[in-house]
Amino acid sequence: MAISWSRTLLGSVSSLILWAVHFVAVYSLVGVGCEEGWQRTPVLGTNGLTLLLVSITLPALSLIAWIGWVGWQSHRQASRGGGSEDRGRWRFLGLITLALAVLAFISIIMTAVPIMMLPPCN
Amino acid sequence: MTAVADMKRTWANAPGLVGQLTAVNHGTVGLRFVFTGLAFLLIGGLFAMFMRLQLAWPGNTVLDHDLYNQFVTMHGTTLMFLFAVPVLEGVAMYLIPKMIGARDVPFPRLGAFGYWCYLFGGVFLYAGFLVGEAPRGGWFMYPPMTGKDFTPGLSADFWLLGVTFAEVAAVAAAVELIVAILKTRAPGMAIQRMPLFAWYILATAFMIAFGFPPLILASVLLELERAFGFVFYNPDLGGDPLLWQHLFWLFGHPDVYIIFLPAVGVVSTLIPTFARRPIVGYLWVVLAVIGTAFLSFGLWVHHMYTVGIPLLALSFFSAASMAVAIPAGIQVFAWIATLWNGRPFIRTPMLFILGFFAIFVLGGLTGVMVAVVPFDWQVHDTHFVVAHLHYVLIGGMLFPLFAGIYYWLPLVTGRAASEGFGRVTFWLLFTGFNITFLPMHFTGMLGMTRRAYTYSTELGDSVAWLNLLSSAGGFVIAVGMIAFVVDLVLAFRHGERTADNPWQAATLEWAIGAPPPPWNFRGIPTVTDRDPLWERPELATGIGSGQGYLADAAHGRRETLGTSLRAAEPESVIRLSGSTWYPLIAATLLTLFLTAFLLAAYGIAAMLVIAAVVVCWGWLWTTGDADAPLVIDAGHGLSLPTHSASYEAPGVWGTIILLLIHGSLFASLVFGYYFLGLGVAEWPPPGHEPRGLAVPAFGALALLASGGALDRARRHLRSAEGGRLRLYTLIALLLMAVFLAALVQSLFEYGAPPQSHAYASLVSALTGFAALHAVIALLMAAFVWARSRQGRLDADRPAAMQVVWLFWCFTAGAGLVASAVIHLSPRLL
Repeated sequence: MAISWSRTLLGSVSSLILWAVHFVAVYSLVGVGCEEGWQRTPVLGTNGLTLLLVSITLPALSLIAWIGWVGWQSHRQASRGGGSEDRGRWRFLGLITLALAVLAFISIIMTAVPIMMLPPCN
Repeated sequence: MTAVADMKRTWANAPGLVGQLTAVNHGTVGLRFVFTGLAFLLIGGLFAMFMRLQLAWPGNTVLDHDLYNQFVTMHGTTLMFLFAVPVLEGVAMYLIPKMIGARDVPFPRLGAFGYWCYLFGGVFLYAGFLVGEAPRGGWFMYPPMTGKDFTPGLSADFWLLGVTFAEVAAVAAAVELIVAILKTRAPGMAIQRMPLFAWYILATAFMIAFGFPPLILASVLLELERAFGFVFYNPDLGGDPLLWQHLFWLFGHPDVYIIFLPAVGVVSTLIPTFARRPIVGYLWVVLAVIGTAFLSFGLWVHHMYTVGIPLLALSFFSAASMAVAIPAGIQVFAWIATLWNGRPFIRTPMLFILGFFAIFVLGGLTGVMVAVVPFDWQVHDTHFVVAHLHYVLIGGMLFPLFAGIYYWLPLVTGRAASEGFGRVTFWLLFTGFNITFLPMHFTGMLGMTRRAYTYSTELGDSVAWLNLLSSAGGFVIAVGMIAFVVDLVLAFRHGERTADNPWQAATLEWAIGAPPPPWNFRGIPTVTDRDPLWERPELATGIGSGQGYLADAAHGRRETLGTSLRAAEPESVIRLSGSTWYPLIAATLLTLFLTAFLLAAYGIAAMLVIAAVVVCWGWLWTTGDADAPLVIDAGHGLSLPTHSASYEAPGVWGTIILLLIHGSLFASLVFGYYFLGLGVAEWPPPGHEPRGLAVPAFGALALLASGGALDRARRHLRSAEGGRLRLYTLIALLLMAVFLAALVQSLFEYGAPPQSHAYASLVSALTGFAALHAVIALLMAAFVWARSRQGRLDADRPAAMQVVWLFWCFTAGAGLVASAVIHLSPRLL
């Protein structure tokens, strides 16, 4: 099922949709968290807000990695066997899914680096 | 009659002036967008010439500060809203059907309506000059400066109403182009074979759908504040001017890419032609297009680095600003690789592309510089930013556009421009551009602020000399522009006749003859390759002799093929509307409405709304071909259902895209509610606590029940019981009216006037959004009822019901969310 989903247009851009959702989530949480003072609660050697941001970043990254893997599987599956009309399209959409997932993954990592390095509110 | 004569009778615009006013064909409308856009380019450039004269040396008195503010505002506004976006829409509207093997766009009336809105909106904006009320708040119109206190009079209203009006064209074009690309490609043009230009336009159109609504909302809110004293941006009563900045840049940054993507789409189309080989890395370019479309929505706050947002939040936007350089870089490498592996030849269009490379790479690099937060703090609001943005916009948009114009000119006219003249034009523009804008990097770093009508002699002699140089360069650009116009006129009048495919290009638009006939393809071809004319050069002859689908137009109806989303397999025959007065009348009514609103003649404005509803009804009643046979012979043994008999009619897809746009608008409004709520100590403020839940809960139940009733009506489509269908539609209509009454009642119970606090204004705005949709839903239900009564809505023609059902679902969803935000979130949060 996951493979056929990755062959739809919406499915093949789902990694970037996740990037957008994650982006809006961390940006809003910094706004709300700093207003509410979550950064002043020490948790596990860091503060509540940073931990919250990290804890939504990790699932987003894993999900994107999984989407990329599904895209790759879809591409490989379609590459086996003959060159029918449908297979050509599936190969293309599978590879696009994978490539967009790589881009989304890198973009989230670039967002995550400052989360690890900067104090959340100042 | 011969087949070609049938085509001519079916597709030609009516003769004379009437024909021009009623034309809806994409070729006519697309070219109108392009030429009107070029006219606005000249006007916007003229403002720049005056500004450069004023800044030629410090303390100059060509323009006083007020006139300078008007000119700088109108320069930016004209070039962004009335030139860059519309001209590229025009190029896309003209080319996309020809490239993907369609006869016209799926909603020709909508395209024509968009054009009139654009033209009238532009004229409306300029009308401010006639009464001495030209906008002067900058193209970004930041409140509080543009609020009633600091900008009394009508100048800001001219901007808010005029620009929003012109934006209707962009939104209409987005719906039009998305559905065209997804649903009307030639058979066999599966998603992996689409011309790259279509990918760029598809991505751009989706960006318009998500990016324009925040600005439309921001403008509507500011106009409500100015006209009726609502509060959204005034901090004394719980508003926040930063809300405007967020909404404006949430539009404004994607807008840079909305302009940039179609332009580089031209680049990706021309480079294979001039390298004489297919693009290297098609898939990577598609990846870059989609990646850019998404990532460019994560950049908006980089225009707001200095407003006091937490550093970590700024670094997110800094990260996204750098991430977006990845897809840009991928494209540049794909272009270089294509040229490297090809046998490139240089003509005027290619020269403009090389100019684009040089200028845009510089603009991109200074873009990465200003994406670095501490560097931006140093150069923010200086001429360094002016230099950067002109390198990006002129390099990234104007040069590719001119390349495209020189490239497709032989297609449009059947004549070629003079190569020598074109090269002179290029060198004038290229050198003029660099002489004008390169010095601004230095004047900016030396401290010269932007948007100011003069500068201090204390900045030093070097700044004065560099400014003089910039102004001199400005005149070189002006000479280049004049040369361009002369070149264009000469080419149209006296250009040498060319072959049908003078550049030996690979894409379908070159297979239909130059100039192309209004129906584009006599027979719609089957596509089997990414570069159809290179793989099968005989296609052109086949198309011309009427091989392919739908070659018979004896019935006198405009037709094109509807195909499936990904595989492009034929699904239906789409019967398109021909010439009609409706678009012009509707746009004229809107102009009158906005004028009445501007003059505060609200009674007249309300009457005009009613007139507009009547016209819209007539428009919908007569659209397409209601009497089309259910099954149409497409030729070659293929029989297809007519589009209104299919559950995937273009109208259904158009509605989905339109609802995405409404959804983006609604999400921006909900964002505004929580953004303002976060900024004040108490939300809702004392005295504004929500009242009883009974009425809104009752309204919500009625809303859900109305959805259920309409669903029942929908089911009776299949059972062919028209009476039942109408009964349930009527019940749905009544229940929707109950919801509407509950909305009004609960606003009445709440009682605080919207002028009293931002909270009250937002409650009114959310209620207004839900109520407006409920009213439209009521009208739609009435339409469906009447259609069924007339016997034109049944299992065989379900499209109208599908459209209403989608709209109903959206109205119900938005209504429930609006009610929850108003009534539940103050209790829960």
